[in-house]
This record gives sequence, structure tokens and C-alpha cells, in this order.
Amino acid sequence: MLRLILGRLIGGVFVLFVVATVSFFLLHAAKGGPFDSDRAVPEAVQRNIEERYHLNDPLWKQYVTHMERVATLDFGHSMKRQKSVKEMIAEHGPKSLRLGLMAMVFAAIFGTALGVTAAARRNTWVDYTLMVIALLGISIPSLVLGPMFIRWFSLGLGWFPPARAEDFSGYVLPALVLGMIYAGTVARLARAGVLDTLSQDYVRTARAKGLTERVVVWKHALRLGIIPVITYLGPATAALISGSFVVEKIFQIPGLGFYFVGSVSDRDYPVLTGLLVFYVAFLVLLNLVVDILYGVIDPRTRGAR
Amino acid sequence: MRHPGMPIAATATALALAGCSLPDGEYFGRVPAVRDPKHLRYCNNGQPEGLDPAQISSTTATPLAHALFDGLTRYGNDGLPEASLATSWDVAPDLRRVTFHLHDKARWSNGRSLTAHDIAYHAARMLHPLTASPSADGLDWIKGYDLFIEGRNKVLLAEAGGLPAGTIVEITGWAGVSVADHKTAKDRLPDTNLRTASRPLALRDLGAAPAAAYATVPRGTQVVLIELSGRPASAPSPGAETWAYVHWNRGDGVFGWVPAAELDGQPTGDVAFRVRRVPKQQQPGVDLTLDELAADNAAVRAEVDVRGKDLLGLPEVLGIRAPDARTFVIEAGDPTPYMISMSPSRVLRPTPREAVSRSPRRWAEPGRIVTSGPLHLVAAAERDYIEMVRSPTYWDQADVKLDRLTVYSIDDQAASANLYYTGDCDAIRGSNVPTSYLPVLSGDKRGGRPYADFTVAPYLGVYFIIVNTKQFDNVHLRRALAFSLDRSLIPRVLHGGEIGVASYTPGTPIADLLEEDLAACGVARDTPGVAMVIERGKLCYVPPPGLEFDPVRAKQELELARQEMGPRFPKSVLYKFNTGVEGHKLVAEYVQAQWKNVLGIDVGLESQEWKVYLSDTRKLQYQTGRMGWIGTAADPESEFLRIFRCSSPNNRPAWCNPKYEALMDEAATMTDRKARLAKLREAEAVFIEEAPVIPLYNYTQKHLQKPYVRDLHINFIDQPPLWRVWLDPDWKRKK
Amino acid sequence: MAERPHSPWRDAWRRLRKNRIAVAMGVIFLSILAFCWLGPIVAGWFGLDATTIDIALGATPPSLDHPFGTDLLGRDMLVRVMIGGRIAILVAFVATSVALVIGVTWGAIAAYAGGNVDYVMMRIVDALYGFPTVVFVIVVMSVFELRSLVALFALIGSISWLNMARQTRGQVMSLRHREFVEAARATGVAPARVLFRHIVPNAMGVIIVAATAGLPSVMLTEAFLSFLGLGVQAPLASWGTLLTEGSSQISVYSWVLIGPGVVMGLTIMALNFLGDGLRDALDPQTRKD
Repeated sequence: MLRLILGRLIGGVFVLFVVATVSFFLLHAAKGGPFDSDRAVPEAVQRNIEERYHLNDPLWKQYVTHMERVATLDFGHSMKRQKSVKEMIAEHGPKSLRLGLMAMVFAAIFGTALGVTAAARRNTWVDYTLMVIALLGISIPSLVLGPMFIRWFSLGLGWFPPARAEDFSGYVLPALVLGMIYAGTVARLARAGVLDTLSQDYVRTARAKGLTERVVVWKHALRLGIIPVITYLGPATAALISGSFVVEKIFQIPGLGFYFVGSVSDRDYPVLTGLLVFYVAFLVLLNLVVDILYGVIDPRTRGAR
Repeated sequence: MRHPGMPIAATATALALAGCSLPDGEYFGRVPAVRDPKHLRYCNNGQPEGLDPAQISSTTATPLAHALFDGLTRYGNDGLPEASLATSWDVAPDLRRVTFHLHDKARWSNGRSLTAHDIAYHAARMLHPLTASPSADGLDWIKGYDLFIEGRNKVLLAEAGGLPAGTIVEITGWAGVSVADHKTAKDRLPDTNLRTASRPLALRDLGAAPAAAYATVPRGTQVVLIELSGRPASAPSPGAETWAYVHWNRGDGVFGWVPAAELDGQPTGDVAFRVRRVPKQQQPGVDLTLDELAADNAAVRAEVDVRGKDLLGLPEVLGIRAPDARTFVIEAGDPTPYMISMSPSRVLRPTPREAVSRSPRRWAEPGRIVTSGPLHLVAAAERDYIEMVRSPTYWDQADVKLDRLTVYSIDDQAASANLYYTGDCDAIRGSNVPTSYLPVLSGDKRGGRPYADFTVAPYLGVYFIIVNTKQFDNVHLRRALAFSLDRSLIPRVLHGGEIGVASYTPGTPIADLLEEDLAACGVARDTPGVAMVIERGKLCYVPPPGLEFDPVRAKQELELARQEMGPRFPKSVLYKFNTGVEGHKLVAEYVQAQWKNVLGIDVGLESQEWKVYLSDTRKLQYQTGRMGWIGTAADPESEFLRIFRCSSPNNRPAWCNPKYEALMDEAATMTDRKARLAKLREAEAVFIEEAPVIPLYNYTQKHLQKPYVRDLHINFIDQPPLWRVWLDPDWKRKK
Repeated sequence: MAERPHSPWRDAWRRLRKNRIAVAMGVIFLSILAFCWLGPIVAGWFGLDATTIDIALGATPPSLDHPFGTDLLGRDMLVRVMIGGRIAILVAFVATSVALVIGVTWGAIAAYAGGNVDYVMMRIVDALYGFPTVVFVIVVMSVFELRSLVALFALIGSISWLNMARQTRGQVMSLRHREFVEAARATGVAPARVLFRHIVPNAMGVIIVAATAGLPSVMLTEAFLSFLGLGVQAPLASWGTLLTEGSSQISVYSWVLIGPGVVMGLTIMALNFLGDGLRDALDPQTRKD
């Protein structure tokens, strides 16, 4: 296990290096710079601005500075917001985290319950109903669900604020919208996974031992059947916690999601690379957790490494 | 088979639920009871890029900065300048100098008196390369601007080659190579203001004891000298000793004062420079007739070799002077009629030196900020909210009605409208409503009954199509494109009461002008088009008519173009626009349909990300595209016509017309404002007939404010004096 | 299909036909295909098309003339939804196929090879995960000026295979030590054959579920790109574009969102049920149920 963790961490550093490098060159290859605007400034003024942010240094030199910063986990300053990238993550990360966790908890609990129940009662009307619910979650994009929820629950019924989550009630609608798609997928994966394992020998053994169907499904089949769900939840959590551009925009939650798109459209190089490195580090850790969980749940995969 | 029925049932439910439309009331959404008549909750159109007047340029940030920082003049309720720090001003007859007379009541929020020296400091700061202000060109008319931006105009400290000490000179070369050749080689100009000290430097406020230092520069470390106390455009010396204001490049940078004598080392002192005096037109304090100035500009100025130690860059090379604490003088190179129009702008809103010095990039944050305006910043969270309260030190308390202003930074238009609808905002920033809501708000889709809390007003902006004149170099082709657009349809596409005119310089519809302005504009009430009122009842500009919709002429012009261009005649036209704004796409589709219907031209549309769009249009990688231009002051020349001069960085059509240039040059030397406007009108007529751009409409601003909001004035530049707002708890009774 | 009589695929087809809900959803999906591809032709007979602008008309609710209503520029929403469906469905299927081929191959090889190969291959997946797709797509689209439909297919496909690879790997990992695999290996079957004849078909259930789960996500990616203005070019409109337009207008013109939303939702739902049916039909493990 220690070897696995160490190996993963070393691999993670390599991944971080690649991400930091590629994102740097990709974004610099994109047209336009951070200080372009429709009101173009005279050349001399533009030069002064570029000088201040070292944008007129040769690209390799900017790259070296950039990598030095990444290596020291500094990431530098935003070019558009007069703040360090670290401050931005500290300020906006918790808001995305809160939203993402709420959505994830909702998706995991609701989705698994839906999926496993459907599997236990497969091919009955219960199964179909639950799967239709799950499918509705998947089928309606947050782009549609968000405005609809606002329209009904906020503008219509006045239960929740339409935007600007200041307290728990403000987070309810966005978390539901964000969690819905994941819940649907989780339900489907859980159902498929449980159905798969239900036909396997050890489950049949359990059944033959006279255990009730409920115990078989929830205790034995769920254990292996949940693997696809965990595989899915790992990256999904990272995606959720790093923020959702659409939901954060619709509900005006000042989370990190905005900056993944905003820093690209602003050409705010330090912010984008800082966020990516942060995000990838997060992802590497989560995947490590997922792999460890695999080992715990399904001892057979342990030998794989 | 009951299962497949389920999704359909669900669909039907969804349809039924979504089908319900907005409640049909007099006002758009709920009108909550007024809890605090002195607290305004204002939904702004996004996160301001900052609050430092030197670092902002967007309409999102400027009204907030204007509430925090006072100016010589401020934007009045009607958007025109009114006296504020200055009680009066004298404009020189040649329009090259304004002398502002300040009152002595103004205080910074830290209690210090606000003086003319603060304004001089801010103007120099705006232009200093270390500030790198994106708005620096807002002062591009003052003497010495061009050279100062490049750090090339200096004060000669010792007599050299017949030039007396104190002469303002420009660097023409160094180390034996001319500036132009250095530029090609991308060499950096050696900074003659670099200094070192043999002892540690205690950076502090002017005249403070060394113990009060907030930063200490280690000995031998390079600093940049910014100004010297007691010099013409600088703060007076605290005693007999001269002090130096320096910048130390550490972290975000830090500025501070030290006794000048402590700066005993000069790393660039021995560099050989070649200089000559600047033209008299750019010398502060020199008054000559325009003819004399022209003669001097034409004369050869002798070049002199000097050493770096004899040259010093100081604010006094600029046309700004503070002869005493209550007098501020600003001088322009050319006759500049718009000096007063521009005076309320952020470029002349003084910033607090003591706060800026300690934290140049972050001083405008809660806790660090020192303000001078009616409101003071107390809290802010990015992309969330900004909280301001009444400033107890503001000199004009009677003018402040608000105790608290909460600004929500909302970058999504639908969210903004929703927050207003539920009553979480008392008012929303102009035009921050989704285009698709407008037909309902304006009553077009409600049987002509607009909501009572919805207002449409003219806005100083023009929306136009840019044409790449390098590709579409045939004037008839461009004119055909212009003639074939029926602008009267635009308000029916965008539903915002847009003023669909083909003229360029924007203004107020003539039909809506005040009686006193009609005479000044020289038009009758029923004249079609718009007019720009520059000074109420005195000065007005009526743009020449544009190439209005005329399908017959459009086809004639197209035929001419086809003959003249031969095989180069384009088979189709590509129209680019930037994503992110609903209206751009609607306009693109309208243009596409019009050109296809009237001219039979196939039009391809391409939407691009904003920065890519800006880059492509600047590099002429486009055929046609959209552009908007919003003015900050009522002046056709500085705000609208100059951007299409050959050398303008904003001339995206790359149109360069000698006749236009000549007329603009001619106008630039005129001191009679009416004659000057007439000349500008001639130039604009050339521009319109050549059609490098095809104006579509004048912008309007759309406002939603709850019926209890009072004195939130809507003006043509959307610069509402926010501190004058109050909420009326008894609004229902007074209705 | 040139399969032997007792091939698993033929059995699967038989089982699929017996699954009434899957058949019904298949019919719905075929109807949607017909709606999108034949619909505009039929609508043309009634004088409806997707591009004619009627500014005077503007946005109107559903009526006999315009069953789905009209948008802000007075264009018929019914035909716009049909045309939008062509693009959305095309994008979804082509991109998912691209993703399926890359993802399954990648994941299966990684899991089967194990050890360092697995390690390196999955770290590459991790690295690619690190790029939020928008960065990739915005940069590629802007730097390389890729604005065609084919580019959209390839781009979305190339960013959607990662999850597929993970799912496949997870499933293959748990299958590779099963008796029938060990048996095949013991009898000296070549590794590639073991992998693609024995393991992958057994993993097909989860892979197909993942692929159908991937279809909506591809459609959503397309919608998201439209949201950023990087989707298909106006006046063409995919469902994504229509949803983007509609989402800001729901409070005033709900039909602009409801029309495309319902049809797209129905499509995704049909695809998902179909995927489930396929899963039940294809997965040899559930055969005895």
C-alpha cells in the first residue's frame, strides 16, 4: 500500500509538471493577451503595461519564471485582479467546495439508493419509475433545470433566493441542479453494477445460504456493484468541487468554476495555470483515495499492482 | 405498456409548469417594503476590475470609483461636469490651459487636507510607466504626454551646449545610437532616475521621522526617483531640505519619501545621452501664438551630448502645475476644447499618496483605502458584493442622501433581472437586463403596456459594423452594404428602444431635445436624427446624416462595385461577432438576412471569443464585424472621431483618408468652438460617405428601479451620482 | 451480421426484441431521427423553414402556424428544433464513437497489461483529466481556427473518452482474474485475443451503460460549448444553441426553451433506455435471468 501511495505521488508530480507546461504553452499560443480591450491603448502605454507584468520577456524566460512559481506552489499574481492566485483559491474555493459537497452528498445518497432499489426490484414498475426519475436527472441539462428551478421555486413560490447564495437556503437550488445529473448517472451505474454482481457465484452462494434478498443486495452485491460508482465519483467529485461554470453563473455563486473559463477568456496566465495545478493535484489525491477504496472493497484488485 | 407513458406524462407536466407566464402587474416583480430609506441595494453589471481610478476603465467600475473619489469637477445629475473640488476655473482663450481654483474644505478620509498637490501627484501617477495605467491616454492632450509615456523627456540639471539648466529636453539617442534604432533592437532606455544609497533608506511620508518608516531599502539597492519636493509640479518641501519620492521594486512595489541627500549613488550617471529641447508647444508655461508654435515645430533643434547624471525625469516636464495648495493648472499642447468635458473623468480624480505608496497595487481595498468622496469603502468580496457607507470626512455632507450602498456584482443578466424581480435589489445597473426580457418590459409583448418601473433612455454610444478596407477597398461595395440595412427594424430586433440611425456620432434624438438645445443645435423639432449637446443651450453637434436604407441605391452601388472590382468582387461576405452578448447574435442574423434579401449576397456568420475577436479585427483578419463605441464625455472629436485617424490603435477598418486627416488636423488648431465643430462635421461627412464603418444604431440604456427609489438619475453616460439616492417609504401614498 | 446461429449477438438481438420498453424507446428514437431528418422536408411543404426571419412577428407562443412557437426573430421553432437535432445527434454519435474506440482500447489494454504500462497509461488519463475541456477546446478552436462540424466531432470525442477508459479498466480489472479468463490464458490463447474476445465482451454491459451515459454528457458538452459561443455557427443551431438561447428567456418565452428541451430530453431518455435494453441483452452474465 505504501508503495502504491508513493508511486502515485511521484506520478502525480510528473502529471503536475506536464499540466503546468502544456497549459502554459497552450494559453500563450491563443490569440490576444490579458490587456487587450476594445478600447485599444497606444503602443507606448501597452508597452508599459506589458513591462509591468513581464509579458514582453522572451517566452522561455516567462516559462522558467512560471515553473519556478509552480515548483514553490506560489503561482504568482493574477494579471487582472490585483490578487495572488493563492488568495483567489482561498477566497473562492470554499464556496465551490460547499456547493460541490452538497451536490455530491445528494447525488451519492440519492443516486445509490435509487439504483440499488431499482436493481433489487428489477423489471418491475418500481424499477422503471426510479429509472425514469434518474433519467430525467441526466436528460435535463443544468442550463435548463437551473432557470426552471429559479422560475418556479424562486420567482414563483419565493422559497429560495434566485441568486447570490448567502446562507444554506441559497445553496439548495444550485446544489440540487448540480447534483441531479450526477445522481442520475450514479443511479444507473449502481443499478448496472449491482445487477452484474447479482449473477456472480459468491452472491449465488450467499443466496443459497438462505440469506434474504435484501441482505444479498444491500450487503453482498452492493459491495462489488458499487465499483463503477466509485470509479465515477472520484473524478466527478473533483469536477464538482472545482466548481461548475454553468451553475455558478446561473446562481451567481462566486466560486472557482468561473475562473476556469474566465481566466482563459481574460488570458490571465497565472490564474489559469495555478488553478489547473491545484485542480490536478486535487484529482491525483482523489484518485489515490479511489484506488485505495478499490483495494478495500475488492481484495482481488490488490494483486494488480 | 404503462412505462413509455411515463416520460410523456413527465414531459406534459413540465410543459404545464413552464407554460405559466410572469404575473401581469404594474411593476416587474415584487415591491418590498422600504426597510431603510438610506440604504440602496444596487445590482451592478459584474465585478469591477478594481477601484483605483488609475487602474480601471470599465463602466462597471467607474461610477463606484466616482463615489469614492472626488474630482475637480464631478458628473452632475445630467452627466455634464459640475463644480466639486474646484469652485471655478478659467479657460485660456487659446484653449491650451485651464486654471482651477479649489476650495479648502476637502479632506481625505484620514483627515488630511486635499490640495492641488494631490491632483498634480495623481495626474503624474496616471502617466508614469511604473503605474502602467490602461487609462493613461485619457490625458494624451496634456503637454509632454507622448515623451513622458516613453520616459524620454527630462529636466536638464546643468547647462550643456547652450541649453540652460532647467530646460526640458527629450532624449533622441544614447550610447551613440538613435532612439529609433534602439527601438528596433528592443533595447531599454537607461533610466537616469535610478539611484542607490550608501545607507539603508527609510521610506516614509513626506517630512516624517525615520522611525515612522514603513519600509527600509537595504543599502546599495536600486530605487527609482519619481519626484523631488519643492519642484514645480510636486509637493512643497517640509523644511529647508529637499526630499525625494522613490520607488523600490520589491514584491508589489513600494513608494516612499526620503531626504534627497541620502541618494548618493547613480548607476546610470555616466551613460552618454543625446538630447534636444522639446518643442515650445510642449513646454509648460510657455505661451505663444499658434503661428509661433507652428514655426517652432518646424525649426531644427540642436542636439547636445550630456551624461545621465545631468538628466532627471520629473513631473514638471508635464503640463501640470500646482502653484499653491488651492490652484491647479493643466496645459494642453494643442487647443483642446474638451478639457472641461473630460475633467470629471477618473484621470483627474486624485488618489491618496500615503495609501498608494505603502501598497501600490492593493491600496484600494477595505482597510487600506483612503477616500475623498461622498462614500467610503468598508467591505468587499470579489464577484459578490461591495459595501460603502457615508464618508464622515466628506466636505459636502448636504449632497449625500445615502448612508449605505450595497453593490452586488452580478455578471449574469438573467440573474440580475431575477434578483430585481424578487426584490433583492432596489435597482439594477443600466442595460443589465437580458435582451429577451425587453419585449415584455417595454410592453411590446404586453399589449403596449410597459412596466412602470422600466425606463429606456439615450446612451452615449454607437453600434456599428466595421469593414476591413484593405480587403473591401472598393468604396461602392462598402456603400452598398451600408445602403442595404433598414435601421428602423433594429428596435424590433433588440426591443430596447434603440435609435436606428445611420449617422455615426451618437446623441439624443432631436425629437427629445430640450427647447433651449434645439436652437443651439440649429435644428427643428421634426428634423430626423440625433444631436449631441455639449454645453446646455450653448454648444451642440449634429452629426451629418448617414447612408440610410435605400435598396435602389444599394443595388446601384453594388453594380458599380461589381464592374470596378471585376474578378476581385467577393462571392460572399463573412461577418464576425463576439460571443457573450445575446444582442450581437441577433444583430448578426438581422444583418445577414438584410444583405441577403436586398443585395443577394451570401453572408457567413462567425462568432468568436472576445479576445480572439479583438486580435483578429486588429490584425485585419476579418471582412466585416461588429463594434460598439461608448463615450465618456459629450465631445465628438476626442471620443468618436479621433479613433478613425490613420494612427489610431482603434482604427480597426485600417481606413486612412488624406482628406479626413487634413480636416481633422485643421480642426485641431481651431479655438472657436463652433467653427471647430463645423470643421469636424465636414470630416465626419467624408468618413460617412467612405463607409469604413456602417453605423447601425445609437445605444439606449435600460433601467429597472423600484418605484420607491428616488433621485437615481439616469444620464447619457450612465454615471449616476449614487450617493444622492434615497428610498421613499411612503411611495404608495405619493403616487 | 455474419455470425454463427448461436452467437451471443443473435441471442442478444432476440432478447432485446422481447424487452418491450427497449423496443418502444427504439421506436421513439427512430421517430426522433425521422422528425429531425424528414421533418424539415415536410415542414417545407407548409412553408416553414429554420432561417426565415420575421421581425414583425417576433416571439410568439405555439400556434397552428408554428406548433413550437417562434423565437425572438420570428423564426419557426419547430424546424429549428428539427435542424438542431440533426446536428446534436450527429455530434453525439460521432463523438461518442470516437470516444468509445479510444476509451475502450485504452482502458482494456491498461488493465490487462497491468504494471508499469497500466501505471503510465492511467497517469496519462489523469493528466488529460487535468485540462478542463473548455481550455482545450477554446484554445484549440481559437489557435487553430477550427470552426467546422468535423472539428467539433473530433474535439468532443477526444475529450470524452477518458471516463470510458476508466470504466473499462475498472471492469477489466475485476474480470481478469475470473476463472474463464484464467482458463483461456492457461490454454495458451494470445493476450490480445483473451482481452478482446473474452474480457471485453464480458465487460460490454458496463461499457455500454457508460457509453449511453456518455451520450448525454456529449450532448451537454455540445450545449456547454454553445453556451460559450463555440458551438455551431449561426444561423445553424444545435439543440445546445437553442437551449442556451432559451435558458435566458424562460421567464418570458418559455416555449423557446421547452421545445428543444423536451425533444432533447426525450432523445436522451430513449437512448438511455435503449442502452439499458442493450445492456440486459448483451451481457452474458445476466443471460439466465
